[in-house]
Amino acid sequence: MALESYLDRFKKINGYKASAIMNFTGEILAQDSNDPNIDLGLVGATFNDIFRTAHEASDKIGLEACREASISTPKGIIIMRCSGIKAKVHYHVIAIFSADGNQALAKMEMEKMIPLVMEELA
Amino acid sequence: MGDTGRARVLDTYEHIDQEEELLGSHLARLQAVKGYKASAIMTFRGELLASHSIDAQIDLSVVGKVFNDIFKTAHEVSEKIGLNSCLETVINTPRGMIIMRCSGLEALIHFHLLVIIAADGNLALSKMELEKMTGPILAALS
Repeated sequence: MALESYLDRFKKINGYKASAIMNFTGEILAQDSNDPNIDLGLVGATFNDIFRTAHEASDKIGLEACREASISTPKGIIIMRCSGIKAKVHYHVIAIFSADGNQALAKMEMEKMIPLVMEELA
Repeated sequence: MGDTGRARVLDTYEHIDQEEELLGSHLARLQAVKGYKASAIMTFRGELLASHSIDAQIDLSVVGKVFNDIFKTAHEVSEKIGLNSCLETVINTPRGMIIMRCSGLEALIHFHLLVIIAADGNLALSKMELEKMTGPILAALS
């Protein structure tokens, strides 16, 4: 199955704007956007850097590497998820929604797709 | 230094001590939240104004700046994609959660709050307390 098809899960969620699957260095493996302001090819690497810095900082204070990060703004929410630094394949998923989007459902969908994408990439 | 000058400096130090004590008292309400580990009030540049930790591994004078940098980068990149500057960031790990809150870029004083709780800690209550604290801290800093 094409990696892009896994992002279809997000497209049905209320408030969806954009999503991507990246390797842990921030290279885009698949991406989608319905918002002309959001080009994850341009900003995906910056979000990935935020996530990687969070990995290191969390580890440093004994909380282990982070699994998920969410950034809330007045106009939207950015959710990032990691497959796990010790997983068979270490990759990141990002999804962006409007402020009134269904972030709980987005997090559930991410949780469900992590092992499926892992199998695809392994 | 003349007496007047010295008195003025002592006054200033006393004022700073009082301010730290006052700001520290705002962090006390977070300590009642289930799973609480550490908290801090920082300037938007990451300078600590007040901090507290009950976890020996968490020294916010060391890692506070790193989390602040994460938050500042999140501010910039959110703005870049048209979502405005971020107000809150939550980092989940297998053993805890780090919650950061901003007073707002356009607030009278732009400061950041940080709280760290255990993985089974009360995230919703932490967020509510941060929301409630922001106004009084803003008033205290103004």
